Amino acid sequence: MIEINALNKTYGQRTILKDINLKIPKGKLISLIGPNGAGKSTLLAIIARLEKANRGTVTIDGKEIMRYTLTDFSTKLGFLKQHNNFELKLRVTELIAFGRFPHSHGRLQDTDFEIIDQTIEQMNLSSIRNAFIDEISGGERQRVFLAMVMVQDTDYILLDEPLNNLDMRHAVEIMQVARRLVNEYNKTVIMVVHDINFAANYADVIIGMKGGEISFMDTAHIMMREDILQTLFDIEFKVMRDDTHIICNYYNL
Amino acid sequence: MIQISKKCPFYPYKRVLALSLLVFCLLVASSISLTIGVESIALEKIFYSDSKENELFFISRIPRTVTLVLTGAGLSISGVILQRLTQNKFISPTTSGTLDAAKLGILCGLLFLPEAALPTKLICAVLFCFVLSGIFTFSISHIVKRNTILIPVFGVMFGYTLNALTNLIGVQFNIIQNMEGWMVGNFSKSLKGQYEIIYILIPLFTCCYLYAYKFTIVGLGRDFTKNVGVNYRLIVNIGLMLTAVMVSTTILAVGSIPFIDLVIPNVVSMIHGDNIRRNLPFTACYGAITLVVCDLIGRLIIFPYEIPSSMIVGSLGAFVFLIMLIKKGR
Repeated sequence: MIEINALNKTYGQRTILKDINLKIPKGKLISLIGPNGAGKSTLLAIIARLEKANRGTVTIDGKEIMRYTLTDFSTKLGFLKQHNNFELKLRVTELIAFGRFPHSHGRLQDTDFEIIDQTIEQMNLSSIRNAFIDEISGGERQRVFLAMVMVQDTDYILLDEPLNNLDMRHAVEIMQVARRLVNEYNKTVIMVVHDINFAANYADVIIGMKGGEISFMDTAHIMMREDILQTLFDIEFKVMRDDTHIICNYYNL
Repeated sequence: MIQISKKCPFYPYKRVLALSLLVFCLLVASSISLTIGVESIALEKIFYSDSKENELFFISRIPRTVTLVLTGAGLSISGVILQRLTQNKFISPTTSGTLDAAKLGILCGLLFLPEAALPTKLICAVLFCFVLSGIFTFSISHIVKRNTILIPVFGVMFGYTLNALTNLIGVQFNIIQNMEGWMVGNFSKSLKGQYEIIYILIPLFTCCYLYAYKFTIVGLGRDFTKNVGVNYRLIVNIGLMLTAVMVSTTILAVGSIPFIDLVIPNVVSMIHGDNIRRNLPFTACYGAITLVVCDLIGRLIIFPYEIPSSMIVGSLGAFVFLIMLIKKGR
């Protein structure tokens, strides 16, 4: 479980996060939604220790994050940033193999190669496994980065807008993979998603953020209400639901 | 589909073949370098211990060739490491003032400890290199955010500033001639008894190889590095230290050789990609071959006189660098 206590973050005069208190359950798929500039990415970056909070604490599985050693933390939590413009000419397999570093420390063993191969298979990357990452399409690169975080094999996986650059088929595939990581491997996946329909149909828990604060947090069925979404995004919503699916229309109201 | 072996998913045979070809080229170039000189050598006589050939061979030819090979390899490796640490393919000891920092360090060594032996001068040069190129590397990342070709421009300016400072001090204390003669990269002074310092590079290569994987990870950015549990600052400092020692050593042994540290890593990157650990042997071989060949050109072009190899490397390197810039600009 990730526990966040009275977390504050400011950049100069600007307040990014205001007194965040949050308990994120383990073994669930959690979606962070909210308008641009709500502080979603900053929150993830602080949990992943890439940014320092001005005040407040983050605890993962009962231990304050700063008290983990570098290696322990990197086997506990993996983070995929929103922008990954690596200008290095590396092969797909090589890049994915970097994700194994916390386990292999640079000397890849048979088990590492097995995990890498499995993940490549799972992410449908077999055909480009020996291509250079600057030669493949944006969607393929996104899947490669995701594969890299997957082979890191951490309990917690933080994804900042993993559906960027993906067409519908690949976006659905990524969400299914995320679902499988939670259901079969008992991982906790926390992702920032902009398409709220993906959040509604795949996430166990949805956290709505606005203006540096948590506005709502609940299961998808409770969260997906017109009034909640309207206060969150300041536009009109129409929620259509049947027994298994929830669809929000906000395109032309 | 061809099933690729799970243990070595990166085409090992092709790599081994390419590498052996390169080593072969290096051997050929080195043997030509060994046999060419003002005094022609009858090869069969070098094994007689008291012959003129034997003396010439062991006092001049072998030291020169060894120095060439190690310098070429060392400079290219420091180039590739610096590129990864700064995440900029146009940064190298030539374009970030590292060469000039080492020069300033050596000058201070000459000035304050005139009686000191080579190792002391080396330590001076290393300290200056490390501190000054560290300052440059980290301040520049605050000034210019993205990976641009502006950074090497600043680097060259920084280098000239250091150079001006060096010259000023040198003129004040009347040791400028001494410096200039020393600094022009020239292998004709690699003689037995003077060139041995270059062997420091061999253990350094091993260190570089051991850290190569981490250097590649650092090249993927600070956040990425932290995420996979690598200590970013530690690796950057180790890398800066290794390049500082390597560059200072080559400067002490032969003077400054420009551009090889910039061009070779880029050529290797274009052909073989950017995984440093996989490509370190390639980088070393390409660098060594280039330097040996440039030195051969310098020795043959106005035979029996010779042009300092730094000039040949400089003019060829500048030309290749220009092409790279134009290609990048498109």
